[in-house]
Amino acid sequence: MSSASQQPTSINPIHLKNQFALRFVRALNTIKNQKGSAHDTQMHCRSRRVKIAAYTAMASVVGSRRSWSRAVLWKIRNRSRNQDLLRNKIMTNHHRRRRHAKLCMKRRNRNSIREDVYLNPFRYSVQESKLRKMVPGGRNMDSWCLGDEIADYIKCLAAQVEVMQTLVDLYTVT
Amino acid sequence: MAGENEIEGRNRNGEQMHYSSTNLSSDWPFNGSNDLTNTSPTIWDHNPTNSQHLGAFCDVNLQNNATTSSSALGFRKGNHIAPSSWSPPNSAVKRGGVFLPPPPAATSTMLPHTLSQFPADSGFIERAARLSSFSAGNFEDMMNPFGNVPESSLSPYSNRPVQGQPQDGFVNVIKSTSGEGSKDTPPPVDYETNDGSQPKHDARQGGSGFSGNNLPGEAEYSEGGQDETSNEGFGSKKRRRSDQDTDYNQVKRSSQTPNEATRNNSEIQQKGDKNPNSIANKSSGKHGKQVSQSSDGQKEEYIHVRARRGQATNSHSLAERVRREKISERMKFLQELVPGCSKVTGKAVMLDEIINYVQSLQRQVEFLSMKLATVNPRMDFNIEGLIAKDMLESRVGPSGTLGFGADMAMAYAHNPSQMASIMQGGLSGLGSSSDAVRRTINSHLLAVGGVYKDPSSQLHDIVQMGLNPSGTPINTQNLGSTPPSHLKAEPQKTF
Repeated sequence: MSSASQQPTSINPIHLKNQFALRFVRALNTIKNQKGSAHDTQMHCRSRRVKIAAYTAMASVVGSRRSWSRAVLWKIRNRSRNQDLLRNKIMTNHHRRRRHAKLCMKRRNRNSIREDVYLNPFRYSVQESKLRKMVPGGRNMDSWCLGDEIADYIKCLAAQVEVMQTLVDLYTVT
Repeated sequence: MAGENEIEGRNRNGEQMHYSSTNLSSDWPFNGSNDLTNTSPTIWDHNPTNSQHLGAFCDVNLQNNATTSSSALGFRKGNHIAPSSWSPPNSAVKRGGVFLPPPPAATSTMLPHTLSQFPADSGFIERAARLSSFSAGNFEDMMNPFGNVPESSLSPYSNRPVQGQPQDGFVNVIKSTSGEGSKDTPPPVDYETNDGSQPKHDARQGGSGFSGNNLPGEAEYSEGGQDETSNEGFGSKKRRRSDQDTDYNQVKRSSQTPNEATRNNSEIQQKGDKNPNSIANKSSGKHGKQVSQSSDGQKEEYIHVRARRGQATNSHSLAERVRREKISERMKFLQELVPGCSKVTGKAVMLDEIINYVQSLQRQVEFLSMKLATVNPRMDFNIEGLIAKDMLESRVGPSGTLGFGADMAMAYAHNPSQMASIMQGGLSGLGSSSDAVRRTINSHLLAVGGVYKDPSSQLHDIVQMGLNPSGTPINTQNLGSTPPSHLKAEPQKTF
């Protein structure tokens, strides 16, 4: 475990930023080149997509090494999969119902069962519960692993913000 | 120095009362009097003979637990045996988690789980509650309130008036033999010496008896150890870690170590090295961890912790100490990450800072993504950053698409198609200085090495595109086509 935990933290931050920038810019291009509708009406949608792209890009850079990155990627993949399936006109009613049931079950599980676990004031403090909610994938971890994940998550998040800031500065100069 | 008989009597009496009063689950990993043997040097340094007495108690208690009627005989017998032979108890315990003095063969049969036989003792419970309210002070503090503790012996088996009605022959015998009050908190030792089938149960009861913890919330006590302020997870564990960790824990630990009870083992295996934050059963989790901590050398997956000088050595405190150290070490790391947290001390404040920082970062991401979404769509999001730094700096085009800055080092693209797109993107904003571009591109390609599927053709394409300003629409188209495939492929690759 020590080696595994040391491994992600030894990544060169510059490398992290570069990799993130690469994937993020690619994603931005994709978003930009999508059947672009009117600029103003879809601002909210676009910004949301950009945000998701940013998180996905960072998570994909980190890969499977970290639990939080795995959680992010899993969430996004499932969401896209569910959305695709739901929107799929070919999907039969049966499939649709099953998918819907699965989504509901997931939502229910996520909200009810696990929430009780880490909201227990006797077990975890308020701050810790808050942290668990903020860090992706922080529900099922014990406290020490959570701290480890938080450290890595903060590092990657800071790098992400830096790159994005650079991009914004770059593209809003002119 | 209290006589052996007296001590035993007290021991047994307390044990009985304790058993009756506590309906503990079988969480207790502790077993038998081995704890006493192991921790005797630590707990009772000032009173080395106490350990022997404890050992004797274990033997005696074991027998007592088995049969209430024949307590007197076994009682005395254990008395004689225990002090003289300290090793037998250890071996007995190791045999099967059953702490039995060799001579009394009958004891082996006298180890039923007759814990519930002992009637509850109200006085005992009262004392237990009182005891549990004490902070993790030293042993003496805990023991003193219970009565007249003679200075000479600080053992738990010090003289103490018997409280509670005599419940069976044990008490009577004790009174007759000791002439003093029986101890109300006999040690856990007694319980722990119970047969191996219920080592945890006994240990738990014993421990609880020792610390006066008869409540189901005992697990908390057992876990508390010396750490009053240690927190499960990050924050404040409301539970009173305050408990008397010293002797109580020590006893538990000592009794538990040699125990090979199956239940213990199973629990150990389940929770050996895990952090004690088991959701389902806190006490069991903690016990498991303590078990793992204390039974050094028994199982390889345990954390071998050595108690420092002057620190309690029971499993609880050891586990807690290890945990606290890990958490504090992680806190230090987090302090470095979060700006402005170097002077902050304390976990709660630190956690607050971390929460604020993460929230601010996430808000920043959201804000920046909004800004990026509003970027003029005419501009290309080119991946110029991956191109040579000097090339970027010298080739800032009118559209401002170039110039990622010094951050972007080259040669990070490991994907040939990636590289092609990068090249195309980078060249889109270039001016007419094709020669220089070609040179840098060539050097860059060479530096990257054999990454390309078809270097020659790609190189030609790139150079031609770079040289031909009219090729920009082609570049953007290519750029637009490749990213989607990459983007889709990315998540799958990482999985």
